[in-house]
Amino acid sequence: MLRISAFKERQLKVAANSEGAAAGVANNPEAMNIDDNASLLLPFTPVAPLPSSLTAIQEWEGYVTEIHETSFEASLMDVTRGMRYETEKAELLISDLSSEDRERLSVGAIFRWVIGYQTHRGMRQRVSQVYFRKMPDWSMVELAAVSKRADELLESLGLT
Amino acid sequence: MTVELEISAVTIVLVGEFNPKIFHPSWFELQGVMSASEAASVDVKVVHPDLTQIEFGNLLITAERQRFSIATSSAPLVATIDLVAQVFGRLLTHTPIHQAGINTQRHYRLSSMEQRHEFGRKIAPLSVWGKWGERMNDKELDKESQNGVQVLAMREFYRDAPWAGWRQVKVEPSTVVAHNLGVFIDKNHHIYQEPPVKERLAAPDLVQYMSKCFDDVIADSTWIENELFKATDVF
Repeated sequence: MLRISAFKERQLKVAANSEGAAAGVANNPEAMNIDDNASLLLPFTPVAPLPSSLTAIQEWEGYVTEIHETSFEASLMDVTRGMRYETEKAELLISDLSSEDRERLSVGAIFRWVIGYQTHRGMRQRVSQVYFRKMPDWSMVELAAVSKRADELLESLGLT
Repeated sequence: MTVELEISAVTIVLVGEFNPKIFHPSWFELQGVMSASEAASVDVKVVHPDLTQIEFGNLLITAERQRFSIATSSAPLVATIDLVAQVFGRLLTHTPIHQAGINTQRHYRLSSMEQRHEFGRKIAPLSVWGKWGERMNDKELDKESQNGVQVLAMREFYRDAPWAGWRQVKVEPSTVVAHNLGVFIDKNHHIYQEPPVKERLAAPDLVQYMSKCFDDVIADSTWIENELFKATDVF
């Protein structure tokens, strides 16, 4: 049987609400010398700190329009400025992608391109990162939901 | 600019009924959410019927029987909602989810301790506290002891049928930014099904709504924080 430590027992008693804090970036009430009652009201803090942080200075969402031998072209929408449509084009290097993202590279694939400051163990540097989005096909999800509701309606009417 | 964003994080929280022990890397791989190499690189903290916690790249996933959360402090923050959408929008579509939150946590660095002190005085003036405020404003005491606001929270309700909820912003001194230069702003964007609830909407409905509004919620945090800094002359 797995023994749960006292710290994890405290986690299991966290109130069921939607507030939450990311590991490593939550404010620590004990460091602030807030009394014990006040600390119970602060958001739940997960166990382990994250190894580093990447704070975006500029972020685009794009989709791949063309793939070449060493690069790919994309249409970009400026997320930082709150744009709702593509207004820019760019060519990015395939060598900048991780091995998993190279497998996800295809015409029409949607990605986020982030330029920002990465902080790791107190050191800070400017980086560029591409992340290919993995989202469900919402049209298929909606189709499945409609189909399920139709089945339930037919059943309630005694027509199945 | 006299204020700088040091750390920006997001946590998505779902409140409902979950089975923590299934959120093992092997399950994510089997369902196509992770590749084999990604699943092999996952740091498994604990997998137990009551609590599972794993670290996948920059994502920290925690599952309890009544609460599921995913957090990151690395952009792009959409990686969190993408994983939630895969799990509860495509795979575990029958999961009862009653409420949700998209929460941002930001640590800002101000240019000086005096500026942060002044910021605190503007958002929570001591003048409204009468003689107690006068005592806290005693310069001899205040020099060392950081008298004044410790936590300030504001809440705004909203309705976006069939959903409703609130935005709650909490401001406090940052314990991450050193030398008493930091301000921590925590925003809880809470979502629930607008009452009266005649028929509970399914997990995919909620998750799809969260996916669509995610970028707007993040931008909303930035807007509120900028308004606060402008109004208090921090900018």
